[in-house]
Amino acid sequence: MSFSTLYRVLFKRNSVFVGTVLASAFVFQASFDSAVTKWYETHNKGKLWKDVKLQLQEGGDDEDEDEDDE
Amino acid sequence: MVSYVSRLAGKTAPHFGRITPYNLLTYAPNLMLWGGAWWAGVFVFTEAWPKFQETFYQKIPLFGGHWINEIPPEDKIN
Repeated sequence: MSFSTLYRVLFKRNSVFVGTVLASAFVFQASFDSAVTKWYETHNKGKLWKDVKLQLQEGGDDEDEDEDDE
Repeated sequence: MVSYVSRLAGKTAPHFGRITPYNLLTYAPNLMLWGGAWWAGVFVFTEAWPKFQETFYQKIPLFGGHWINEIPPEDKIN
């Protein structure tokens, strides 16, 4: 896409320009949020509540028993 | 007999300030595009609003899953 096409399609009318900026902002803020959340959850896998919760459901009672013994 | 014209026989076109039906018509395409831009702006600034998320954004095909956040009932505060 040449610059003249880009100019004609996007920048010639300010309403189209502003609209494109806002529409892409809407898409970007959602996808950026998704991407960061995905990265955070893979980076902290095993430490998140959803993982810890599963660990507690499987063998969470052991710790309680140990505390009772002491 | 001579008939004199004492003043111009003209009517003022209906207008509101400088806005007339005719120039409003010429502005119409641009105003419609501004309407679209305004909606995009509304979308941007209500993106985090739960009511808007439930009623509109969760229903967007392909992309709507981003706004669906299901918390298991045992993890809810109340």
